[in-house]
Amino acid sequence: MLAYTPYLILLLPLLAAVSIRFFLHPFPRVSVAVSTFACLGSFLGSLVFLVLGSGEGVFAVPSLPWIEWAGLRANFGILGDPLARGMATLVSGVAFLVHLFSIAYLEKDPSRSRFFAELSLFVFAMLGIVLADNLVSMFIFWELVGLSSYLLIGFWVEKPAAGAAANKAFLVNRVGDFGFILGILGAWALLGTVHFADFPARVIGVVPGWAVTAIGLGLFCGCLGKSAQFPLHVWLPDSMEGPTPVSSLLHAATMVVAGVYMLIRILPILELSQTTMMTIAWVGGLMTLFPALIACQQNDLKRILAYSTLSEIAYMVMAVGLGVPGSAMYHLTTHAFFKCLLFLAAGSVIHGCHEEQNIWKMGGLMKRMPFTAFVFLVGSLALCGIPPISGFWSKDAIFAATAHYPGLAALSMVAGFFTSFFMLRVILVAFTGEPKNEAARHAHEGPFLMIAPMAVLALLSLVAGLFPIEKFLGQTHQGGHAAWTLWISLILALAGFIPAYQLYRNAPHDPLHLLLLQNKFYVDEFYQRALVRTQDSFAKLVDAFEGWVVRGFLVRGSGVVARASGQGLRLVQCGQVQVYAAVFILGVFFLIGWLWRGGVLR
Amino acid sequence: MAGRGSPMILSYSLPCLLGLPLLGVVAIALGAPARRTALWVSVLNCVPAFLAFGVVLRQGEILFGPEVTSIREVFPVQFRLAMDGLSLPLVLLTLVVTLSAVGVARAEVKRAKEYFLCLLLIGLGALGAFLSVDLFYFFSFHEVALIPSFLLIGIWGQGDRTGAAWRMTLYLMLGSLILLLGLIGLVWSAPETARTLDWRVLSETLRANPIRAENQFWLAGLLLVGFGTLVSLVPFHSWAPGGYASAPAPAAMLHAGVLKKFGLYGLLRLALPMTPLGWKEISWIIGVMLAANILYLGFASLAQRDFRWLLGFSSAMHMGTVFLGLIGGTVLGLGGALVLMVGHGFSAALGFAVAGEIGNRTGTTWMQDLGGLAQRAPKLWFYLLVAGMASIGLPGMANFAGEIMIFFGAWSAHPVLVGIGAWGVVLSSIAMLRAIRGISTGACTAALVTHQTADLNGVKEVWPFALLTFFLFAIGFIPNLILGPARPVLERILQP
Amino acid sequence: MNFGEITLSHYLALSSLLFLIGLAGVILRRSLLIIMMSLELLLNAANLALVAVGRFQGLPDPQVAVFFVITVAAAEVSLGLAILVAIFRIRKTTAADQLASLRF
Repeated sequence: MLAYTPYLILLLPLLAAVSIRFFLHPFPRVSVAVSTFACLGSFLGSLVFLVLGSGEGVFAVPSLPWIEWAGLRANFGILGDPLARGMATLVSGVAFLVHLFSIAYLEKDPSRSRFFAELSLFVFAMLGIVLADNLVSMFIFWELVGLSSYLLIGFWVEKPAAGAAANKAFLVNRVGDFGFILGILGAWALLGTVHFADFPARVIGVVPGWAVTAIGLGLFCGCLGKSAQFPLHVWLPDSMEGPTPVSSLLHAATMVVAGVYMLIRILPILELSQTTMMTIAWVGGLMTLFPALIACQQNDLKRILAYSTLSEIAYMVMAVGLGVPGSAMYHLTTHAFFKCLLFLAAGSVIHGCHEEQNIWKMGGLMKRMPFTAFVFLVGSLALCGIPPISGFWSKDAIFAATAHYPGLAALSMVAGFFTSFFMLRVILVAFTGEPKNEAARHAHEGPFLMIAPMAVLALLSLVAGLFPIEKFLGQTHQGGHAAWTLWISLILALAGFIPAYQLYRNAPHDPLHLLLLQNKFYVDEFYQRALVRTQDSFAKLVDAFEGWVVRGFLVRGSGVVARASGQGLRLVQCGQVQVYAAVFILGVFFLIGWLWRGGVLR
Repeated sequence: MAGRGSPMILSYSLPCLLGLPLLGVVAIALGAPARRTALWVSVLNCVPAFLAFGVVLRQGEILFGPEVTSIREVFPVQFRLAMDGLSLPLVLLTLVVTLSAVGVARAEVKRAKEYFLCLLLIGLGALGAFLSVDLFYFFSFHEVALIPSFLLIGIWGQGDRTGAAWRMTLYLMLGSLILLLGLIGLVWSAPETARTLDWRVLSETLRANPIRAENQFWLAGLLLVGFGTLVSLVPFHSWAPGGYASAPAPAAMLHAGVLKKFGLYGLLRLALPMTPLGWKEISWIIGVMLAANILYLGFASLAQRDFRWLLGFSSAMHMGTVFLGLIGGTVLGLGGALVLMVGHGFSAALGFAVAGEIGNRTGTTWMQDLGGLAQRAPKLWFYLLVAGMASIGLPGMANFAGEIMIFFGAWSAHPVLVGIGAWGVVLSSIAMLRAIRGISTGACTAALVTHQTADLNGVKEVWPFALLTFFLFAIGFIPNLILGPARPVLERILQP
Repeated sequence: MNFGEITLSHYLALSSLLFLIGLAGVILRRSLLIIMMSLELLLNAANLALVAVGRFQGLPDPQVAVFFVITVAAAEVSLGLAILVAIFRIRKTTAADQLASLRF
């Protein structure tokens, strides 16, 4: 019985979600409390699980039956290895802080019961992904996370843009899941199992070939969708339509990194094919630079942070592709801290400026919201990888891994340059100078519940670099420090500040007008034209075919034929007795003749 | 007579299952209050159902009726009923959907007597078809269910209702005719001394004396076309979208939820075990047809502007995935097909129920004119989400469990088709999500703004939706509820 | 003069000729009365054939049949003429092509 207690970590948020949705809906305060305490419970449970199981390797938890039939064994189980335990603690901890923040952020929103129900659902699903012990149950929670993301992005149902963004997120994820499920099927066919624990043993002796590469790439598709890498990255910037706590929790700290987590889980399969690993590394490498460039010309505070998230996740993906999952997890952890912090700070700013999100309408916030400005600064320094803040250490570990791949090294380091550029741009425009807006003039700090989580995250961002986090995560810190990557990346990161300072100090409006970057390299437009319009035209064609040819011609047509032949045949009934008699006689003669021929008559 | 060892009295639960709706029909015809009688009958029908389920869960099957005799008797048709692991979920589906359909139907329809009579008759026909052992009754009960649906669509429907009713009924009758030829062929293929209309005995006989391979091919083809028309398999699908879109909500729920599954049930009971070689030979044809179902109907559903039409196309499209499970050749695939059949029945019923409610409250289901449901009618919106998410295969609900088992089961035999099936999931997501967004968000239509009780009002309006949702989640979480009892039956089907 | 024996074939030929004439009358004549008379011709042609066969083959059965046919013909004629009179009273015509209301 006691062995089933880790399931409580999953059960508490689920119970919270269900009870709020069905019973506690009319009582917002109770709902909020239930949801937050459930998340706290999960966090404490994960912490206990983490501490208790340490030193034991994999903590064995019996599984709950789901489908175990005719060759497929896909039950719900918990893989209690250090990676899962550490990640669960991270997820539930950050989620708890975001819960606290949301209490203050949404205190005037009439539908906040629904928000907290959906948030609890998310926590349940995310912990499910983290604790899953096989690909099928991970896929189940994967989809549930997609559902909660859909609900949360579209939380403000009055906003049409939110609904569109929610749809986009769900559908792009679905496309990724298409590849994912094919990869899962292929892996099952290849290895005979979908359980992570069995992978290392079963991959021994598998001959690499195009099938193995295809399976690896298929599984990588799932990561492309969930972690928003090219070409399935288009949903993440739009997802900023959701409330800021959602953006911080789902689309920065936890959900989007599920793809990276999944890659680490299936690493034995990926490592079978060098092609797969290199593809992953290069996709990651390219995605470090590409969104960083776009972010330099965006004006919405949350979108800038979204693009930087894309870039940071790409670092993690690249690290996995280069075979250093420990560094990927390290950066995942530090990124969770400082990116969540940045988003919460952005939420505080937006809240303080009365829902204004355009950085060019802010300004002078450093004087009016000093604490927020300070933590934003801390987060930015972490993001840019400035020592001794945590982001530096984790990014450096990844840079070290690129030492043998100059192309990737160049891409990621130049991305670091642009990251510094656009972060300083944001700080200068939004926090320094004169307020450009009435709302900015009257900005003020949020309540305690907003400040406290930010303080905790700021502290974590500062000191996380000092702890060997990856020991908690069961991965060894791979790849030593290559001196030249450290120095060059640091120089480039610091150098990025200079042009930003020159251009944006006291700038009333943006001096640069780079249309290509402003329009996000026209990827969205391309998708709209090439894919969406083609698909809709084809759909209309099919529908027209169905309506005119199949329903019209074939079905109604056969009805018309039946009716017309009836009209024709009824003319035989002419009513003339003599005609009938003549036909009758002819028939008799014919019959006699036929029988005569047949020899029946003599 | 009854299952081994259980008291004989329990076997009478099977004719009770049929008798109660019949009693209800008679009572309504004689003047009892229509909706209340129908509701009571449907609820009371659960009692013999649970008894029968209990026996099946313990013993594997339950029988009622005289011993089988050969076809040479003067009157060879025997009223014999049976339920085993394969028909148990379908009977459960029928009961629940009938109950929900009656619950969703309003008492103040014009000519309520005939309306509820028809609903009960459809339920009766479906139950009889799933419970019959004799092929004559098997076929006849299905025909019993056809005429009431013709009346329901033609009289109480919307849109081009008379045209749709005629087209659907004539098309289905044509399919039934082809099916009848197939059934007769099956019976005549048995050796002359052992010819019987009892499909249980016939199944064993044909296993011992297999039909010649070329005959199997034609028989399997006839059965495929016959049953396939009933299941709206491309190219025999045109009756489905228009028929469901023009039907009143309870009729659509019953037809899309229950009657469609009759065709698949027939294939599982008759075509697969009795013409295994033929079935294998036509697998590639079925593969093409199911790919067309998924892709062709999937794209067509994208272009729909009316929510009911979209649901009709979408529900026809998902039948393709079920066929994928049937041709997979593995027990896993068959199990997935069964779970998906049941899940699809519940989700399609829920979808049409929601569409019906939306139509009742706003007067339209044209998606461009709708909007703002999430704000004005959050409870209805919740059930819209459940129905939509279930049909696109969200885990936690029955459809996903079935689909994932089908994909795994058919992967080794038909990987390309599984890929097409997976892409179909994406296609259906696009269509359904667009529809949900159009209905839920954005500007409110005038009708919802002025309607006083725009949302579902209290338990008495919510319970049919909640009932269907409960079963969707229950089977989604614990598919073993269905797979457990069905396992021996499905394994037997595939045994050579 | 001797043109040879009168055989059965002669009688049958005559019978067929009468039959054809009667048939032509039934199909080609407009007046109902003439049609009825032609029907009588048909029946009598059949009678002739029956009697001839009976006489030449020495069978008694055709002679019995003839009696039946004559009786039935008589009954049919009386009934037919009664209908004809009734039709004429209502429709004022006895032309077969004008009495065609049972049509499409």
